[in-house]
Amino acid sequence: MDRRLIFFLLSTALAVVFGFLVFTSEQSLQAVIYGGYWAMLLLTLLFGWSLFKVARDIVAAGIDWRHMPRWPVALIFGCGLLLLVHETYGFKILMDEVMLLGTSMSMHLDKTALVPMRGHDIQGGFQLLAGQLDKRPLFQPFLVSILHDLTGYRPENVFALNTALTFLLLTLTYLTGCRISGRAAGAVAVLLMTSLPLLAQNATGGGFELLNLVMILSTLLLGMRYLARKDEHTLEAFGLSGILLAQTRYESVLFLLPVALIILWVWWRQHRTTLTWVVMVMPLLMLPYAMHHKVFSARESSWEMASQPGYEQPFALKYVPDNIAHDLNFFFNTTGEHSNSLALSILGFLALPFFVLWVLKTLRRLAAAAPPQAALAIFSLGFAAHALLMLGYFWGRFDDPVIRRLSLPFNLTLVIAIITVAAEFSFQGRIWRILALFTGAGFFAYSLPAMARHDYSLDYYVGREMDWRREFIAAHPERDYLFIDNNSIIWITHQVSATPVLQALEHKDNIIFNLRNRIFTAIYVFQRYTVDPATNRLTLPAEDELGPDYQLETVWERRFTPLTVSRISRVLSVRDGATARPVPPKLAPAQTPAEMEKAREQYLQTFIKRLP
Amino acid sequence: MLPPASSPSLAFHQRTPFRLALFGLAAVAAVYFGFIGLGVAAAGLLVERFGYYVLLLTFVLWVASLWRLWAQRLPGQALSRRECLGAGVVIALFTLMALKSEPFRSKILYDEFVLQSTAFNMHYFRDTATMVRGYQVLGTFLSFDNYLDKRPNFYPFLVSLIHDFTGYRTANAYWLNAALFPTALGLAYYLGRRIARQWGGLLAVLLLGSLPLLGQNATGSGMELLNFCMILAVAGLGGAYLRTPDHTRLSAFILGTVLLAQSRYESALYVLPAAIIIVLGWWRQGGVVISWTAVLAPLLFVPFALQNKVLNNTRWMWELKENQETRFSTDYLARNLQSAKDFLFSPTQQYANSLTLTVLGLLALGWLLWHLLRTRPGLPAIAADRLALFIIGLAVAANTVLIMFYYWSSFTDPMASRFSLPLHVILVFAVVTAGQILRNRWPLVPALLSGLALLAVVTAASRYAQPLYSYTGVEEIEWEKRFVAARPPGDRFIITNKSTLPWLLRKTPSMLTGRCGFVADRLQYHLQESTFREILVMQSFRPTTSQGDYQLVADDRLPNGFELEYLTERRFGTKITRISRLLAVNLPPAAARPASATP
Repeated sequence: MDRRLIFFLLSTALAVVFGFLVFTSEQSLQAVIYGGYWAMLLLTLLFGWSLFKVARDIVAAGIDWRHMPRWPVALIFGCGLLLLVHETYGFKILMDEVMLLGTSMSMHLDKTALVPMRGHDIQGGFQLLAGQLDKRPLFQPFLVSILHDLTGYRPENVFALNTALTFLLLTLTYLTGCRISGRAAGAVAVLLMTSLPLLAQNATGGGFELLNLVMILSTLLLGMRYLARKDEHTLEAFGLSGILLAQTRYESVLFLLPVALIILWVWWRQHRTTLTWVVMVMPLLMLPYAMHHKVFSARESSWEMASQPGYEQPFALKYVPDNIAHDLNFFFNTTGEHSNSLALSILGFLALPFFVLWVLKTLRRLAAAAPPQAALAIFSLGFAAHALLMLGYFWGRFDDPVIRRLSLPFNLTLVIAIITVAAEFSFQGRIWRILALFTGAGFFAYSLPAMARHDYSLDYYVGREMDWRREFIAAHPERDYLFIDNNSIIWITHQVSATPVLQALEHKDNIIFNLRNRIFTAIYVFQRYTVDPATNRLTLPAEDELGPDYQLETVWERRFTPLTVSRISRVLSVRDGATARPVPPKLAPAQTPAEMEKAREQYLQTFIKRLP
Repeated sequence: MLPPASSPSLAFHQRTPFRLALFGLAAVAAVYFGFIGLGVAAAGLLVERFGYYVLLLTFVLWVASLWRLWAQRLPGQALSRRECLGAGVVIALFTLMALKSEPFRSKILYDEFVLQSTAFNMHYFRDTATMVRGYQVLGTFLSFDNYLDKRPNFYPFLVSLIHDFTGYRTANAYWLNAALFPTALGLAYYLGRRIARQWGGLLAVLLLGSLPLLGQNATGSGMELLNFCMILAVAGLGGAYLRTPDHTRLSAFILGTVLLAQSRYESALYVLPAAIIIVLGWWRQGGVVISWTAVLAPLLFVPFALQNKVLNNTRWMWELKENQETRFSTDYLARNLQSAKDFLFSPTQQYANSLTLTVLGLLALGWLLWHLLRTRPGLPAIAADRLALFIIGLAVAANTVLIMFYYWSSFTDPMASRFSLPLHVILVFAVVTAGQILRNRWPLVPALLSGLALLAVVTAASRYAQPLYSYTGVEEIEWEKRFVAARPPGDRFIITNKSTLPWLLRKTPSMLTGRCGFVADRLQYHLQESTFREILVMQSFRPTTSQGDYQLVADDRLPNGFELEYLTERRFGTKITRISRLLAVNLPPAAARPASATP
């Protein structure tokens, strides 16, 4: 047997042994905390080097850039700007985006993969004192940490990354369209992507969704090239792209299936394996993912089942019908509240059945298919697996403000389906113009006003509250104060000392010590009151209650929803002695989420009627 | 090719013996005026009044000789566009990293303010002096009670030059260092390339760019980076001179050495290796090459010698600590060596060192010494650039040995770690040279060294991210400046417990807290006359027990009768700084006499 193949099998066996058998969950998590950064560095350097070699091959092939049309650059630039101009940069999904930011902060400061839980200015510089490994994959925080390394730490670096990724995504979308059916198809693909308000929301956010889409398309394009050229350089880049994709979003590991199938297909067709030393160690490069994934077994709470009462398993077939209903509600919403693109949904769902048939047909005669089509057909298995997983996910309702972003890969599938199916229907070569016109009309009639209003972002008041906190930080640039807030990570990632309410209650003596010795210029508290719609009385939830020992003075206050008032208060004094526990507030009668929502809507109606 | 210098066809003034005679005369005159002929007071006065002009002359001559050197370059000697782009991108990335790691702020209290103050007087009055007091008089801010400082003047001179061309602003001192950082990396690239082609250049840049200590100085306003650049420049010019000894190269090399000597106190040491390189050049050339600049050179050292005389005779400038009698002593050696070891080998983020560079550099140095002893190459066999670098390296080593006997050069002291910068020149070029020799035997050496250098870059990123070594107390001053800047505009007088210079440099009159008792009546007078919109007082509180119990520092107490209004306060480490406004000075009747002067 080929010696290289033996090494490859050996590294696969080692990856399985070390990834799943040898280490306990705790040991694995420790390895990810201290080795995660270095693993990402190695993977990124290898990927960068392999892309450089591919680029060198492309240049050596003698591509004449000067005679390439320039309008695609203008199109991508213009569409990118349209996606970016309507919404202000901000953290849109909480606490996801802040947790990612926290990990990037630790990676930048300490080269560890931890979300900071404590941080203080001790001798002049803000230092992290404790942290915890987050469940989220590490590739996006790693890239943000590189930006921090080069330009200094600032939370806004993640927006810079997503801005750059927006243009990169549109470029890759264009190239994918080109590979499928030429430049016109590429242009239509870009227009379809631009018509998606959800993309605009994420382009101006701090999440990893854009990177995920970029890595999906990069893997697909490299897969197409590998099927066409079957060379070692592309193979390395393709494999590494797949591995990095798996480190971008949890479920993106599914795309390793088509990656492996494409590689095996090529090897089978060639009657030989192509194993460079990078390919041989690829199974070992998956170790960080395998070890990091143990966070879900080590911490049951990672699934966040508690956030959706009534669910017991993260994945089950029984969730499918309900999810389908919610997903269709998302895709065909006509109010613009769900950040969907009507044009994309209508065209996409029309094209989807044909696309499925096309995939099946192409898979059946794979050897005869052109390399881009063959690669796309195999890669579609990844898209299908992703869609099925989302349908079986307990929280896979795309019309939920926090979950909408999970529909992005499916929206990308729709774009690819439209392009692929349209390529089969030529309509005397006018199909692309028709599609462009339809998409343009849909964009101006529906998507653009929706993006301009972006009520899908504004409705999510947690995001606006986050912006409000950032406004407070901007108004108090010295950052020499302490915040008592249950979402303390938000403050810590902005280099402001913070502690949760429970800590402030249980360690009241520490707060007294800090106040007496003026360790902080001020101590503030963030609390969110609920408004009783009947009496307008403000009630503080137990988790935000500091009790009678804390004398507070309101500093900022804002009503983000009809039934919540967010308040920032300054701690004037803290009474010494035994901690007087907060008196439990008089609770409103227990309500189901539906009843609460109904009450909220009723109050909102009254509120609007009574506006002066 | 130069004509034989003693050729009878040359004009008399061009003949070498004549120039050598003049050189000797200049040397004797320089020794007499610099060390013997003038008293301390006269020396101080002369440097104060004319030091600037001598420096200006030296600098102009140097720039002119560099220009001539650049014009002499042969076609094909310039870097290719691709190489320029590659090196430029790497240097730009390191510069970005260093500049974004910290805000512009002083790293060494209060050295950097003193240098800026000298630059202030050079810019406005062409005086080589530091101010003690300053006031707006009829709208013009004038400095008073100026004195000749001990610090060499090349850095303040360059800052004053930037003030001259762009207008006065304190940020100019920082921008100069921000520009010197890529210059230093560029020079390192040049030297590395001369030793080991493109790979050597990139390796030198990677190793130096990943040295946090160098990056730290890029955002400060000290003279270290200039000194570092000048060492590299002199090494490069020495190599150029040894390759082809001619008048232009000699002039550029000698003037570079004169300016290097004025970059840091101990850099006068480099005069000796420079002399050796000149003589070696003559030996290699087979004849004496002496330009008019070389003839003039001894006289250009006179201001430096005079300034040194003032320093040697002004004990308070030595800044000795309690129980210390001399600046240099063997008593300091053991402690300094220990701290040098702690600093250079520290794996923590506490210091601005690069462990990778230390380990690689020491290994390379050891191997090079062994290699040198084993092969014992003859002088003619050594390439000019390596020879120049080796001789300058010996001076750097001597410099490092010298400071090991200095009372305040513990590398682990954030104020003194900068003294280790020249040592890193040796370490970097030892790695490059050893790598170049070893690559012939083991082709993997360049890849291995480049990989290790990249590791150093990643670890440096962590230190840049959290520069714990830079919190030397200046945050307090920066916070005070921010607070004052945010107040309504108007004339202010600052009574500070730190240094008056940060305020004087912003053209805000200032006085130390300790003087309040002496000039209470004047303060009362100016309060009554509303000369200033407000008089602000800076004070500190320190914890007195484990539970805090903060109390006002005794030295910061104002005399009885001073009424203050609290404005703000903030904690810095364990210390609290408070800013108050002086409301009134209530003097006993006997003490309240008419004031006749400004505070």
